[in-house]
Amino acid sequence: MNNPLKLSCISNELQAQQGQCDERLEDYLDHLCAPLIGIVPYAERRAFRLEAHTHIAGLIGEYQYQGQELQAATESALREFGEPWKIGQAFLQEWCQGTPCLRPVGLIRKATCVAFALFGIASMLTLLVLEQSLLAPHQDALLLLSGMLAFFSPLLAGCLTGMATPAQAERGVRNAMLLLLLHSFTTGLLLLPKVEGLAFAGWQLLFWLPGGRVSASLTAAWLRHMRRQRFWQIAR
Amino acid sequence: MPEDRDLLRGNIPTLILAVVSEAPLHGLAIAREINQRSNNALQLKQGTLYPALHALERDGWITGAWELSDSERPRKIYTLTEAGKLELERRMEAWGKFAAAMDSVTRSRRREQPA
Repeated sequence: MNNPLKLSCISNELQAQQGQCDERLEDYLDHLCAPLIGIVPYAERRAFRLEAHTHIAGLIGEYQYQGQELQAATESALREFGEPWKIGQAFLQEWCQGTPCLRPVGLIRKATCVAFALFGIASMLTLLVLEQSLLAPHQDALLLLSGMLAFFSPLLAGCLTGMATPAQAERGVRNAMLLLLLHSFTTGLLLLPKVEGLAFAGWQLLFWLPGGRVSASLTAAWLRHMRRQRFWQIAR
Repeated sequence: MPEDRDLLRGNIPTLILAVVSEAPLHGLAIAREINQRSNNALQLKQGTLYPALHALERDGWITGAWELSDSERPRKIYTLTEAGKLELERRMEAWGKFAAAMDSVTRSRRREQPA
């Protein structure tokens, strides 16, 4: 005769396994749809998620039919479906091609605002210290500080922009810097015949703009890489 | 091999059109059909079908309709359209020319190689 206590234990174990696999699948689907958030409308995202869910559930069923345990079947199915981030990105790319008017405007706007705030603060600080050092010509420490600010602050601002808005960081920095450059060149022209203002604007054009874009893009790429690594560590 | 994957990626839409031309199918069935017909030579990550399916649907070559049943999860079934049939023919013709050209080039090279 079957022991009811033993049967109940097995049933609890199966339920726990099912719960873990459901969680794993939901996590996978979150990663799959993550690149679409804020760009693709909710209804389309939901349809894509549902379709992928049905597909993966079918694959799990097939692997179980071949004799695999639920957890092993789930892992095999997810592996066969592919890397979620890449698939999500590919889907987004296709989606954007069909809807040129609905490009990720929201994300670009957000990245531009963040970059404008950070690069604006960096620019103001550098100008303030530079002005102080020019007014007091024997303050070598201030001159050194302004030099350091002029060199490192755009890199730091770029990193912070990349961390805050990894999706469109580089474009955000470009937009923000173009606005700041307009301001810097106008101020530089107004300050003529003193050339320091124009020199600073030139330095921003030659170093801040490319340096900020590179640091933002590298930080964003690193963040995305870490996110993928973390996901696959859990998967293994 | 990476070059195989590149070749396959570029031809996923044609494979989908060819498979769907015979019967309306859902995503998993399309993937299985491609694997079976190629004797598992074309091993594609099945998720990569969906961006291609979206593009084909957007271009009007296939249509997708949700099929709801009580026992199973809802599935999206894809059907080839009239425009899709023409597109498939065009692609098959282009592929035929390409394959014949590749074959004649590689065959002449094989003949040149000493035995």
